[in-house]
This record gives sequence, structure tokens and C-alpha cells, in this order.
Amino acid sequence: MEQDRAILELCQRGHPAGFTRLVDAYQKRVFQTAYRFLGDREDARDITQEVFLRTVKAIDSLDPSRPLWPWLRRVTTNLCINLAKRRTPRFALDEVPESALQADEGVPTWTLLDLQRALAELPPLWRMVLTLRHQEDLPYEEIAAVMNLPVGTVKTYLFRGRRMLRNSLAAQEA
Amino acid sequence: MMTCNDDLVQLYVEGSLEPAAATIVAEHLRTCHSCRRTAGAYKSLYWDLSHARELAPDSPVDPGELASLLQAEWQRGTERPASASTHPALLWLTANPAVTGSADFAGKVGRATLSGLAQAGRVGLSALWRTAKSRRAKTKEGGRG
Repeated sequence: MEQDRAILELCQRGHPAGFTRLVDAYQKRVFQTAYRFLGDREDARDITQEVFLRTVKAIDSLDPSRPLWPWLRRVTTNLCINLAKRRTPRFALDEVPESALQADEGVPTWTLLDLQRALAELPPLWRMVLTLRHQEDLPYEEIAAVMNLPVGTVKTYLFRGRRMLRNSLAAQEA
Repeated sequence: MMTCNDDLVQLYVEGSLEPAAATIVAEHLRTCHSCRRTAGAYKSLYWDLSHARELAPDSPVDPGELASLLQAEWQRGTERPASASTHPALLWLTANPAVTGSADFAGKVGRATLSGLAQAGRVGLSALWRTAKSRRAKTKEGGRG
């Protein structure tokens, strides 16, 4: 928190140390969040650069007494959603075959790499909701606010995403 | 009597259910082998999802390059004057002893000038007071004469 305050105050004055510290503190986290959303290294790198550029453009409006990560996470999420929409204009719930959501009794012996592959098959919004819930530990309401979605939609994506993951992981084991 | 419900099992494993609802689901899990397996699978899945961040590759972004880009963006985008503390001319001025010495000298001159003016003012006022007093005295004498 104090670190964020120091970083922001330096950046607001245009001090070079501020930008260095901002990048050192957050570029890895922004990149990994974008990567988990998009599953593509080059896209995640472009998004990371854009997140920091937008942060600098908005630097005077940021409050040094507030933590920086929620802002960065929100910008990252929005940019990833926009990119996903451009790439797949019709990505939606109905693009996932219902068969992928059928319950299956698999024994949970998958590996993390299996999970990574299964995550990559999810619609981007579902993957983002799962990431924000399980890796960022955000409550439903906060996920809804970050992604500009109704809470009910967040829950739907979450339930369906987990069910699809469970089924595809069970199928990989079979 | 609860029927099998995947969403409720997910919420139960997540710990998001109200106590009363959680009791009902727990009771169902005791008797339903299928939902018990499902709950076990979700438990593993949640744990793995929370550790999936380890799968992300290292960032390929060059920190120094990005920091320079941000610095340039700040200068270009904002078009604001450099702050007083970082302006090169002011930094030179405040760091140069010759200049700060001159500033001290100027300060001394200024202070001396001010005290001189004040003293002159006092003298001038006294002189004016004496002149006015002698005029009043002469007027009184003229009136008597």
C-alpha cells in the first residue's frame, strides 16, 4: 500500500524512478493475468504494454491512497474482453455444445497441464470469470463490477465453466 | 429431499451456501454416491485452479524498455511543464554554491535596504513632526501679536 503510494506520487511528478518501480512491481502480474485470460503469450505482452500506457495516461486521476492493483486488474480485464470480442465476435454461451456440460463421473487424476489445455477450450468470458474467482479470490459482486456483467451472469459462467472443465478433464483421463 | 444439483454441489464445495442449505446438501452427499464423486472432483478442480497461475510463462516484457516508454508517454501525452524540483535549470541553480552565495548576498542587501529605508522613514517622519510643531508655535505667537 505504501509502495503504491510512493509509486503513484513519483509517476504523477514524472519522476523516472516512478515508472521503473511501477513496471517492476506489476508488469509480471499484469502479464500473467492477461495470459490466463487469453492463453496467448504475444497477445498478453501487447495487453501488458497497453495496460501500463493507459495507466500513465490516467495517472493524474489515480488516488495515491488507494491500492493500484484493482485499477490495473480492471484495465487488464477490459482490454482482454475487447480483444476477445474482436477475435471472436460471437463468442457466447451457445457456442459451447451442451454435450460438453453433461455430468460425467471422472476420477480427478488430471495434471495441471491437462487443466491448462481444458482452460484454453473455454469461451474467454468463462475463463476470465474462473480466473478472477479462483486466482484473484474475488467475490461474485466484484467480478461483476470488473467485467461489467450482471451477478447472475457471472454465476452462470462460473457454474458452467467449472462443469465444462470437470467434464473435459474427465474425458482426457478416459 | 434434495435431488442431484450440480450448481448446489459447486456452491457447497466452495463454502458459499447458507448453513441451512449446506446441511441439506451435506445430507444429500451422504446418501448420493454420484454427487459425492462430483464434489470430490470439484474440490480437486478448485485447488488446481487456484494454483494454475504457476502455469503462466514468465513475462517477455523488458522492464527497462517499458519504463522508458512510459516516461516518454508521460512527457509527450501530458505536455505539462517539468516540476520545479526536477527542472534542470532550477536543479543547477539550487546545486550551485556560487548562485546560492549570490542569493545570500542579495538577501543581505535586501535586508539592509529595507532596514535603511525604515530608518530613513523614521528620520523623515521625525523631521516632518518637528517642522509641523514649529509652524504651529509660530502661528500661535502671530495670533498673540
